[in-house]
Amino acid sequence: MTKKNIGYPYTYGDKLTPEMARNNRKQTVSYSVLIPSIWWHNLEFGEPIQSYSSFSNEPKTVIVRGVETSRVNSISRGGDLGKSGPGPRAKADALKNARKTGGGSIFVQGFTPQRQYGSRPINKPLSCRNNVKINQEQFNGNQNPGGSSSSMETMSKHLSQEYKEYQQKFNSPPVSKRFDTKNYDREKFKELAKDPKANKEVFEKKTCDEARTAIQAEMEGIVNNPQRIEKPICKSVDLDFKVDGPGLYTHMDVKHPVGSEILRKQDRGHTLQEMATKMGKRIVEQKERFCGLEQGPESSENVLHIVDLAYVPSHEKKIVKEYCLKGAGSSEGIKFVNDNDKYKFFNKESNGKYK
Amino acid sequence: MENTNKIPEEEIRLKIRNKTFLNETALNQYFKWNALSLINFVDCRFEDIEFLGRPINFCKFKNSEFNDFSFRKCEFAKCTFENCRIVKANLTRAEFWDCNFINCEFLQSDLAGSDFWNCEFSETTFKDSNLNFIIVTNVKVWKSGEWVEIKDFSNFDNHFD
Repeated sequence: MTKKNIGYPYTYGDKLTPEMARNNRKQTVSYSVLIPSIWWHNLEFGEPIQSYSSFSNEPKTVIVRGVETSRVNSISRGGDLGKSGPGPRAKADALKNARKTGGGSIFVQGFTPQRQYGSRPINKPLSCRNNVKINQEQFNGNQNPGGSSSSMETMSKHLSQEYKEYQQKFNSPPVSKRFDTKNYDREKFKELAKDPKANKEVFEKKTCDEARTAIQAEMEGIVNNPQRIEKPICKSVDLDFKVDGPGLYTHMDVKHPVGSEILRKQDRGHTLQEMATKMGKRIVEQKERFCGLEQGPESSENVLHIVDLAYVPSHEKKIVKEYCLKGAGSSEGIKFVNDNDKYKFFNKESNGKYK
Repeated sequence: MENTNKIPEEEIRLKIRNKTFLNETALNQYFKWNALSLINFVDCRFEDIEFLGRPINFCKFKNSEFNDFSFRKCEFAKCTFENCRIVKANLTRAEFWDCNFINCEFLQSDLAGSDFWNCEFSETTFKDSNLNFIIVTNVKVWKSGEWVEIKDFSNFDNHFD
């Protein structure tokens, strides 16, 4: 029985048959045509096909909008991590398939798409990259006048390093989780986050907090059109914002009490109750302070105070509210935001449980 | 003359002596939990610094000079200023709780809209400074060998000749 040597590799010294020569020619053609085409393909689409937002901490699921199906289907990336050439699994598959089928280019076989679009992947891809592309317009969002799909929390962190550090250190859930902050005007937020009276034009934690509260109050219908008081009026009328109502309100000031844990960590030296009572007393005095000035409030009835309880944990909100009103003596001209238990406060000392 | 405000143990205080702070970064390292607490600054100089709305608690500033700085909307609690010269300061809407000012000089400083609660002033002067819209509650001034309580804050500056 004659042994037929038509497989690859041929043994050295075998007699060259026409069949073997034909196979060799096929293989040479395959390499010379297909390998350059693969490299060309890689050069052309070498750029990452997904662009991420400038805010690195924005969840990818939020910014991923459109799926560029044509490109995804035309490229089989081999499941590598970040590069466009074949990865280890692709190469292993190619080798395996080449042995099975015999002949032909192992490289080409390895890059043949084996999964149809829409089918469930049998072999989960190694890559963590999504084969999707978003553009700047999609990221900015077109449903909002100011063009923002990022939360105010993200915006605040982006504007102020101090704000970012504060949020991270206190290990609380993002403020945006405590209320909806998606549908706001980004440009307006930026304007509101500036302190017109500060010597330098910088975004600080306090001004970002004030802007958040002002926007939230507007979203909740507590005030209309909050704006910073422009120079030089703010030199005398030093309230946080001017507003267009509702009712008699022409000006607004914002307060941010904190919880007992923060008071302790900051060595403030007073209790939660003391802090809240003093705040209430101060509110009453501040209402009168700038009355009668040019472009200022005419009377204390025109000044609204918003007490934002975002930094007060759920179980202390009631205490702060109660003592603040006690200090003020009346709830007239005082509104609270983030004063419900809808959003739970999380801290390290609660051993991973929401309080 | 004895200070009525209690101050925590001296041992736990950080003592900074003879240091110049020329920007926010230099001082920022001493902020913890966004607050400046329990620090004694002696013979220090603060220049061109701007902090907004931060709590400053249990700090002592002695023989120090503040120049062209802004602590706008900052909350000073139980702080002592002794032999300090404060020039061109923006202290608008700052809050001072249980603070003591001993032999201090405010020059061309803006304190408009600031609050003073349970504070004591002795041998302290304000020159060319804006003291409009200041609210005082239980504030005492050392005058002619005794503490005089200021009740009418509308003429707050009249007490400091």
